[in-house]
Amino acid sequence: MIRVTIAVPEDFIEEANELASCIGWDEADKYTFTRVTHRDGEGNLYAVASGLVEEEFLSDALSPLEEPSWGADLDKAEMAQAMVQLGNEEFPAAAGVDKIAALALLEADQATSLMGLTNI
Amino acid sequence: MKLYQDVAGTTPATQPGHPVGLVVSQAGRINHSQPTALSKPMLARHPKSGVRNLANGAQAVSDNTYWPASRTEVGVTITRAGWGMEDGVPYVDLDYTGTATAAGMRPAYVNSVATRTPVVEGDVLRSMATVAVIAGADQLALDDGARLDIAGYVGTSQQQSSISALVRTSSPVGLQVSRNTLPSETAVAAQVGLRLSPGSTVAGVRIRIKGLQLFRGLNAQPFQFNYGPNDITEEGVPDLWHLYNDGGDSLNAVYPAGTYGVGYLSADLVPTFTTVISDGVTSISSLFTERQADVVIRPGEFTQADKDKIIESWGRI
Repeated sequence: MIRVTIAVPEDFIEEANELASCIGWDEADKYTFTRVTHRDGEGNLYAVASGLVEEEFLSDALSPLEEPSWGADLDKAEMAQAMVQLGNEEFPAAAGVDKIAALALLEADQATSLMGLTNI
Repeated sequence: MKLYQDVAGTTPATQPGHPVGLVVSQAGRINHSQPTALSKPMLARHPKSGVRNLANGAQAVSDNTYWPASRTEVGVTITRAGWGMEDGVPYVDLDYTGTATAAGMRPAYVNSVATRTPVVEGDVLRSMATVAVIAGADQLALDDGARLDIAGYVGTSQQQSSISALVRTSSPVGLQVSRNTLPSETAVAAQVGLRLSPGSTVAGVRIRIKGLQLFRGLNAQPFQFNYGPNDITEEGVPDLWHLYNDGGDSLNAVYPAGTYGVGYLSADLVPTFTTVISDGVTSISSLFTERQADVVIRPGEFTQADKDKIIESWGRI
């Protein structure tokens, strides 16, 4: 299991949840991102989720999507997938209004700091 | 209450770092749950006396996050040769091999966001560790040896370091170094390893590091075992187990419609009282603060007498 922290811009929470539904474990993953919790230096708002996932989670996030048995909007999921940017500590993916930034292996507060985010 | 990693309640949450997906109330009433992996809080523990050792993972000597198994910088490869316990304190042995192309400390304890401590102007930090050169000391140049530093950072850019004396002996030496935060600095980190001059060649110089600590202030402090920011203990001090909300986490339940009094205790033992209103349909999360040791939710607002009783009960945690 590895820790991954994901920051989704406010305008794309719905799309990100459809992606989470496709690559997650059950229907509840459709509600991974529920409310804005962070902001960047320009005041843009983000929903952030962090937790332990299987190591295949990161590769699954970028692999061709299939609609799960509980249903998902593949168009929205693929839109979110195209926005995903994976980073690491050496080359962190900064949060942005046009991307879904993800950092692995760091604690959540370390990851959001590298992404340029602060708690609301 | 009982904590489980999964919503079905088949896998208990018992260790720091375990996700919590189900909280079963001792009263057998309303349980709170979270099926989404990235929205589960984490089980954590801190000493009831508070966290003072800020060197994250300093005692997690087999964890690559904090003590990498192998890495190379400026021509020198640092390899973790082994680890164990000595006098009840974890130690780690590091081998240094290569020719240094630049001067300076080659830290064994990882230099990363994971090990930096935020600071503001006026902060005073003190670090200590026990270090020995247990093999190959005869290879070391006169200006080289094991050392303990406190490095300062402006953002991610490392600035000056405050440094200790050098150790070149096989007998352990207790090192200490203190640092006043400089006006522009935003973080500091303890660094411990081998200092090498440019052009110095080492082949299997082995150092042993034990007991790394980083405290605020200059006064002597009891030892704390820091295995990571969510697993810190102190001998003789009770553990304060709590739930850590690492970003957008929640533990939810639907309450019958009405007003409820909420009392919650943070992991630094600060009580807070508030109320929530349930519409009977929308779930309510039982997580109200970043690090939460306990929560009480009851129908009706709390009276002052209620609050006093709850605070008294928390005093027995």
